Amino acid sequence: MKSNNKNVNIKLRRHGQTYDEFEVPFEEGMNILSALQYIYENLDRTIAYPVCLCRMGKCGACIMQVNGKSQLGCAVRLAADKLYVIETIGNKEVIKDLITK
Amino acid sequence: MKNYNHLITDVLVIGSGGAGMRAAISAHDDGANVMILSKGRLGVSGSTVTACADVSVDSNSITKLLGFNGDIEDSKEQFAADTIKSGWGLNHKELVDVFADQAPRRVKELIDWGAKVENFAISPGHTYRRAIIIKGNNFAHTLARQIRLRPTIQVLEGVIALDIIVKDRCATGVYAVNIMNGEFTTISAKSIIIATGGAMNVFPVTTAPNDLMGDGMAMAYRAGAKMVDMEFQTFLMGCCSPSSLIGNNYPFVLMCRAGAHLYNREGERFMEKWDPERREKSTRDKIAVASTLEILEGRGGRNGGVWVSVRHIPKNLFEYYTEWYEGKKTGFDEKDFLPDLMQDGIESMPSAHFWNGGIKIDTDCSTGIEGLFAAGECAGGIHGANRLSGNAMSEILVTGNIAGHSAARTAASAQVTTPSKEEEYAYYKKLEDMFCGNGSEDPVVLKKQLQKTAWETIGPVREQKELERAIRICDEVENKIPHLCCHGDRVYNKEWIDAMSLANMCDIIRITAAAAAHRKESRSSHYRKDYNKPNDSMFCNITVEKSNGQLKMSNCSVSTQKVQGVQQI
Ligand SMILES: Cc1cc2nc3c(=O)[nH]c(=O)nc-3n(C[C@H](O)[C@H](O)[C@H](O)COP(=O)(O)OP(=O)(O)OC[C@H]3O[C@@H](n4cnc5c(N)ncnc54)[C@H](O)[C@@H]3O)c2cc1C
Ligand code: FES
Repeated sequence: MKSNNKNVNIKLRRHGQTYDEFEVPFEEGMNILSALQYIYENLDRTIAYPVCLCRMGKCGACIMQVNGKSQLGCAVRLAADKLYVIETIGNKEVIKDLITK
Repeated sequence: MKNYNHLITDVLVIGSGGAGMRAAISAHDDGANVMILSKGRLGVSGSTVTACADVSVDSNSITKLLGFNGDIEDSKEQFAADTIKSGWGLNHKELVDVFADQAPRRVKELIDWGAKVENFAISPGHTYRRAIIIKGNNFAHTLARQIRLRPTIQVLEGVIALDIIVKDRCATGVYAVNIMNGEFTTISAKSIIIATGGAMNVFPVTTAPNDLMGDGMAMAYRAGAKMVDMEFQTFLMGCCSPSSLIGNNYPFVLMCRAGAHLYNREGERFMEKWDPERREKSTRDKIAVASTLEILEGRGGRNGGVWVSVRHIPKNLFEYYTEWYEGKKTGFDEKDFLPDLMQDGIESMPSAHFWNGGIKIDTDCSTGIEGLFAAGECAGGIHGANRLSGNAMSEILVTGNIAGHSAARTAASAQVTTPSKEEEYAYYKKLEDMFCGNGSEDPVVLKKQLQKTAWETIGPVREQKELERAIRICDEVENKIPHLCCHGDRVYNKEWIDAMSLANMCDIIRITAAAAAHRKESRSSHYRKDYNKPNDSMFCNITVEKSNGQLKMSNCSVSTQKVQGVQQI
């Protein structure tokens, strides 16, 4: 269900420091994980987010800060033409991008 | 030559789902030094945490041992008989007897450790009310708590086992990689338990978490162990759109619990042709085959699925049906991502859910390779051609416990053996070279090619020429592995992790395709377009092993023997 010409913008904190911004084609009903997967497969192979994911709100592995709020990445439905700033939660030591110790 | 990390333990458990955790507890309590190595985090990775979950034991024991309101007419024998009926008679009978006998004690123990029983139910295929409802996350957290109460159990999270090190048909350790820092780690162990779950992610659409790629089965196969019943996979209806819900089993739940209907593009309720009485309440394998044929014959939708619809149900009644569904409580609700279900259907397709076969084990969970044991979904035999509902969750406790005891016993009299520096270097060099920059093969493209091939060839509908094509493609992809090209550094590198899983995917798809090509009949979830009826001459188990570098297949007569005096543990 691709909706033509609409995007979502993902601003991802890299290595606990800078941010990279990605433009992802918008699709009705997509979540943060679908956007990250799109970025990984099509835009930047070096982004790091968990490899073990239940994708159904049960494992907690996708917990992240989305626009300043702690949320399960799989539970956040994205809206078209909106910016999502994504980073790790809390003060845990960042290993890479969304991965903490 | 490089220095790698080296660790030593008595018992090494690979995987931290229910089977791995239960195994570690028993091995520890028998006095062994235990290490758990897990791709995902302890207690929250694998299928265990996602289960809905019915945990089956015979109903008589629900009354007499567990003290709840069961049905005393039931017996362990009847439970075993139902399990074998559901498995189309291909189950390893001795294992089933051990399972039916020990399951109540294992579940009682779990409840004594604090697992919360939510309810009881009668599940399809069971003669009595045997489903004890314990949510998967509660089940997993209860076991994780027991691990933490045993602080000498070492838990290594974010470490992927790559291969078993074998010397003279004896397992001596594993080659592994710590994905958190990209370092290679060789672990030497006196005995090893594989508890890595199923291989559902060789398919593009699965209900199971992303970590389950069949790594343990592929490693055991390469180590020389036999695989059994690998042609039997369970598929159930999952979403094929939107991207956030791919594989999510909500459509299946709606069919079971809310009486949802299934339509093809022509608006036909096609299950009427296949099972006029039960229709959408038919068995999972029939629904999977029927839906796949509808899709293949061009009566599917844009996203490759058929439609699951609840439009015929009044809105306020539908709200009641889904009340029990836990969604909102965890913050995740499928309905947030779906269109209004009172208007639209959910485009759905058969999604890989459960791996019925696996590493062939005996009643002590041994694999035929000295020092190598297997437990849980990666092991084959108990379920035969088709698992009975709720049997996975009780089975992982039973085989986990047995494997833990067996591995501790073996470790008590075994020596530690370490690989030579040369062997180790040669092994890790291939993985380091995936970054060397000379290669041009894209791991993500190859992974997707394998997943697409798996769906087209070893999915719910199979035929000879397609199965042969699967094997050819696996050979081709395998030849490309030395020419892979990964980007970036080794710290938590997803592309490299995908690259390292390709060899396992090739082995799993090839073994499955070979067994499925060999089974020239249709039986349970194994449906062949070119042999669409069961054939009595195929009433046997197919085993697959690697012998002198070649895939070797054998027909094994189905075991019928009752177990005499199995050790009570
Ligand atoms: C959505 C869903 C619902 C289900 N509902 C039910 C139900 O209601 N009742 C029922 O009986 N069954 C159910 N099942 C099946 C059941 O959950 C599983 O069969 C069972 O949990 C498997 O347990 P396990 O310990 O063998 O493997 P898993 O729980 O899958 O654990 C495997 C572990 O191995 C790790 N691992 C994998 N590869 C490697 C590697 N290379 N190195 C290190 N670690 C590795 C993983 O990270 C994970 O920790 C369901 C399955 C799914 C997907
Ligand atoms: S992926 Fe498991 S909770 Fe989000």
